Amino acid sequence: MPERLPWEPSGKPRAMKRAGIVIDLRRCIGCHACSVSCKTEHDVALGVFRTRVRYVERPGKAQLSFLPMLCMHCQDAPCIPACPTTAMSKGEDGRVYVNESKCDGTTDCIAACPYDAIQLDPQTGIADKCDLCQHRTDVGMDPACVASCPSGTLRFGDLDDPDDPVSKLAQEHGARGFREDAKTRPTVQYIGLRPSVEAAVTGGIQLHPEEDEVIYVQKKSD
Amino acid sequence: MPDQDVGAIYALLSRVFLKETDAALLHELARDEIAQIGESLAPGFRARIAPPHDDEARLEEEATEYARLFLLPGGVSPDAAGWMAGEEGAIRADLEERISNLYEVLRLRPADFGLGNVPSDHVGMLLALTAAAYGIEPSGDLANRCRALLKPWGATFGETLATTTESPLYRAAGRLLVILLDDDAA
Amino acid sequence: MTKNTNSLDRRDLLKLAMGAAAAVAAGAALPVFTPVFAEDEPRKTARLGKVDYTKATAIPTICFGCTTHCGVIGWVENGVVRRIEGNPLDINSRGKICSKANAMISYTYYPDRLLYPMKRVGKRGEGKWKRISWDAANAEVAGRLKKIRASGHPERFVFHYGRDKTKGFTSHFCKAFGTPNRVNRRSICSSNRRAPLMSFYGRDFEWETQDVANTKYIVNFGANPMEAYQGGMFLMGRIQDARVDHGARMVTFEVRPSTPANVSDEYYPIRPGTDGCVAYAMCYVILKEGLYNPRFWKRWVNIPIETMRKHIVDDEKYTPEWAEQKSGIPANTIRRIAREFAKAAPHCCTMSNRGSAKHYNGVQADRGIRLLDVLVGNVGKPGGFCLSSLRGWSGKYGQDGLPKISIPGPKPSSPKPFLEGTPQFAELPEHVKTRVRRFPDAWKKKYTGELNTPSEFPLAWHWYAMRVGQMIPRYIAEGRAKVDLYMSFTYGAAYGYPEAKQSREVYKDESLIPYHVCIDINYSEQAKLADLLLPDATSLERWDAHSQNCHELIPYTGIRQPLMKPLGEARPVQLMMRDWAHLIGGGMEKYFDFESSMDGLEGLYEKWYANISAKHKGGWEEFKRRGIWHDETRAKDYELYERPVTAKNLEGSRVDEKTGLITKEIKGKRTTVGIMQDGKPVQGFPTPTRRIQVYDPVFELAAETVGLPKGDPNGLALPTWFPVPEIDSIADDELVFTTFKWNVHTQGRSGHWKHQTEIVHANPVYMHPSTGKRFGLKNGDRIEVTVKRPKGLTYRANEKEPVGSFEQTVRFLEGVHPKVICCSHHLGHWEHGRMAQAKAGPDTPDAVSSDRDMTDNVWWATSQDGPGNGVHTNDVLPLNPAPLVGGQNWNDNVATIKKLS
Repeated sequence: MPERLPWEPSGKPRAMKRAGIVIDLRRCIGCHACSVSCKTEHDVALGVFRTRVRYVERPGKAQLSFLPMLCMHCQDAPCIPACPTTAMSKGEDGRVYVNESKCDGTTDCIAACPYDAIQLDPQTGIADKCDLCQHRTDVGMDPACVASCPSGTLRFGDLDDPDDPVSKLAQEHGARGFREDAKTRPTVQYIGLRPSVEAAVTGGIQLHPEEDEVIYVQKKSD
Repeated sequence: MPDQDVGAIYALLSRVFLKETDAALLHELARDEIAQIGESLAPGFRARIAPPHDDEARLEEEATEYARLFLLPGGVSPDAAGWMAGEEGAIRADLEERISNLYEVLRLRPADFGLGNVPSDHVGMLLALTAAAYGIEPSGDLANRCRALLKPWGATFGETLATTTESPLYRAAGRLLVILLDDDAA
Repeated sequence: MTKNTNSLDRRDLLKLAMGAAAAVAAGAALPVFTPVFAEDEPRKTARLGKVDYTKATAIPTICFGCTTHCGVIGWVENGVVRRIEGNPLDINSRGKICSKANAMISYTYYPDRLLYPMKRVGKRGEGKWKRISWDAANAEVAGRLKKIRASGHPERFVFHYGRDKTKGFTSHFCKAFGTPNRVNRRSICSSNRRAPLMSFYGRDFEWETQDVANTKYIVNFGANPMEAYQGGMFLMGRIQDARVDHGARMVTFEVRPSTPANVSDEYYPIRPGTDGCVAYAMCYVILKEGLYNPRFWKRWVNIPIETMRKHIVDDEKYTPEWAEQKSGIPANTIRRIAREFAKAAPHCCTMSNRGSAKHYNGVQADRGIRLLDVLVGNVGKPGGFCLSSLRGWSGKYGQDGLPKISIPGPKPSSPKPFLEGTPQFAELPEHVKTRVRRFPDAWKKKYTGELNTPSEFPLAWHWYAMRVGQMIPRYIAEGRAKVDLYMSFTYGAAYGYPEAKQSREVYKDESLIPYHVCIDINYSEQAKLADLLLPDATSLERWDAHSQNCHELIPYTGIRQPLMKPLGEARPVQLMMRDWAHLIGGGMEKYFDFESSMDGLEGLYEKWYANISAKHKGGWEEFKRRGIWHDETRAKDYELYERPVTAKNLEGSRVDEKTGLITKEIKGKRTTVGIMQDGKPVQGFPTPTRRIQVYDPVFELAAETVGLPKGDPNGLALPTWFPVPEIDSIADDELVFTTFKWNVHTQGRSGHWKHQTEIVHANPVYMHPSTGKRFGLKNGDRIEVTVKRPKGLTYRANEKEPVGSFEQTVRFLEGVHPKVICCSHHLGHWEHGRMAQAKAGPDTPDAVSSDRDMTDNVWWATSQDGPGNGVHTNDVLPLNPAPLVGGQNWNDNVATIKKLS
């Protein structure tokens, strides 16, 4: 029996109380491995981003900051009560996901989300957002973004397990959620998130790339 | 209309799409009935398929148009169902299984067509499947399952082909495809 | 519809369709089967389903998304490649990838990919093609090559590659054929920064291997290992670990907020072309304040430290104040950084690349930067500037104990030099003959014509053939070389070269290039100018050998293996060449003794890797399953130069009492194998003196041979800084125009990678807000940028007529140096299919595709009111090869800007 190679999945999910991602901004290089791996993994349409990487300019600073953003899998997710068809659901490990067979594209969830984490797939009309790669975690793999991240910025773990190394990392470095004033109790935690970076992300917490002031998107008009 | 005829039309159209025009195909297209249909769909068709059928210069022109339309970027490429999304939504995820089921049932393989690595969902292959289906089951149920693979995208493909091409031969082919896939057309 | 059925027989027509007498299953029993689609859920089936990883197959291979080539795992489900992840067994990339690895999937399944051999119809460049069979294509190519080979002028077959990772296969073919003209584009990339390495250390080691995992201090002069750099991902992960977990510091000098600039502890926008000033000033501080390592210098450098001190300190040429005046970096900052760097030694290192080196003075600038590591003695030390054993398998330095990996079978000999008296020499233009006659014997013995060994740029091939690729179309136009068949292999001069328009004119000209074959996966700008297109297999469909310079400092190897059958009629270049060799015959076939099939190719690679398979209990199958191998017991490549000379080399050797050099006769040639140090025989460096050649007379030799004016700083043997003339004399209303590379794109071949192009499809001109203010511009204004010709000793220098202009939108960015405007490369394609041209969307006429993204979702297309696919700027950038080495000075462009109303 050949040895099991490191990429072969165990086939079994980890038992988790609160599955989440810790984003260590000290390491991020803005490479988009996360956002693009996600798109490839889930066949996400062009124009839809489950995960985005913002290049944030701060006034008077020569250096840009990198900011990956995705669904925060909020503990008090407002998208869930907003959904009229109960398609937006919470899993046993706390992750928030779309039950596609129930979704009829009303966009109430999109309006409710302070993190602009949800979009509609242009062809199916179904709500599209991060589900922490359920099909991967079900067989013991990490979400695609975490598996791809080359700098160790994204890490997946049980944020309610004090022995989980990712949870410990978050604790040790005073990780916090993005714009906690939105009061949704986001599960995704950031290490090294500067208030000035938070403040610089204007006009809604997460913008669609077309309207962004992301530096490499050039608007045709004005 | 006897299904035999429709099947024959599908077979001919299949050949038009599967590879470049050659003398043998021109000969078939030059039959009165076909030429009539073709001319009604695309004026200039008759002239295009008139003999001599082995005229090198014309065959090269047709081959160049074929490459421009189906093999190079900027034409009506690719000519395979693949992951097409159409009006009814797409037929993507389970397409492979549906197609291979039909090939199995009809006892055909893309390799039988001696065309090298032609995709199993090539428009010409799906037309050939439909033609074979009419042969096995004249009532058309089996053929309709094959047509269903073409329907979501074939009309757009045919229309685009008809408007993009400069060749009456391919214009007629495009328009014929639209008609064949229209359930309401005679 | 027809009513007369007799003349149309379905069966006959189906036979017609099948092109064979194969009978259709007529009259077979009606089958019973269940439909497998759910008609009531069409919306859900618009997308690919989720991969079932317990059923999908994992196959290791090597990425081809840039030039770093990380080991990856490809997940294949139902014959379709669905996912690419890192291979954790790759000790270099450590299981990590960047965004571009995913593009292997999108470029393999790209609807506009080139999938069939095509022959030109009509005039070259008209864009008219017809499909032909492989047999016909091979007959055409082999027929012509056979004639060329028999003509006595095999050099008239030119094989020009842009990206060749066959690791020896194509050069095997070219050698077997007998042409020296297997040429490349190293000079538009890195030759200026490789030359200093080779001068100091004897080899470029592909290239240096900073041991950043263990470093405490990095000084980075314009390198970008976090976006676009050979070995970038290997370095980047280790840099971030060192910085975040171990307190390492990084200082970057750049002209724009590149990723390294953004993550560095200190980022200094620097005046272009003055990185060397800072480096030489740091050398000044280190020498003056005695912060260098005297033992290391004495033991390993080929001149006394006094010579260096005299050169750099005594004349007070390179003071920090001088450097401040030149570069804008405060003198005290330079002092502090020099002291911090030296204090961290040996756990410190420099980095540099295009930012410092792609300048007229780039070679000498980089010699100054490399000098810093030698001064503090961090060379080969943990955390320092290391030199690994040359990728493990393509050189001899530090090679002991590694299993041999090489293409199996007989090896053809290298083509013969163009010595006086040969017909090749006779054909050379007179001015070339004159120059070649001035060569020392060693160069005469290496000279194989102007394309492979340009006589005007001897340092482009003195150490090994880096060549001056961007001048090749020019040279052909000037008659410096005669071409019969030109083969472009993943090569895009028509888009990617400076003054690309000139290249296009040469490739279009049938009197200069009688026959042009293009091998690629896409219908590129270069392909448009060919006579024959041959579809290559992509990196998901091919075999290749593999190794890279390893940042774990342990040599390793891997295999690129196919995850799927090539689509359409695509074929890997190895099979093309094998077929040609057999058709050409005349002895060529014996070098390609394998079957003309993917199985045959696997057989070749199995033999190629026999010694690696032997390291696995399960042999070849197990090696394929794992994809990467390294020797776990091997020590890291620290201080290779201190390793003892092998017993084998010592046997029969002798020592020169004066120099300490150890030599021995190997294959009839007296070869240096080491140097005595403190009475012990050690390897030393692979230079003539076995020491680090800070003083290198080859620069003087080259300058004299080529006829540079006496004393010209390009030809000085000691590292010496001099200005870029057009930047030094830049006017107030002029700016330096720089082009740069993004992390999501690569070279000139990624415009059609949909996920990458979605992120970066526009290339506005970035400038500092103060620059905008000076020129009366607002954010978003349109400007015209006009690029001037360079000054100095280079192509068409000092001509008044500008090279050209382009129009773009302005975008302010604080991190850009106030004297610089910059925009990115990669964009503005006019070929490479619809995705690269942003020509898609429901209302475009050619909106038919098997990929919904192609037709419906290209939101940046102009048809969707988006900004489109950017601007191509290479046409307006001047051909500008640096003297002696020939590296393209991409970063020297002086430009004026004009606001457009």
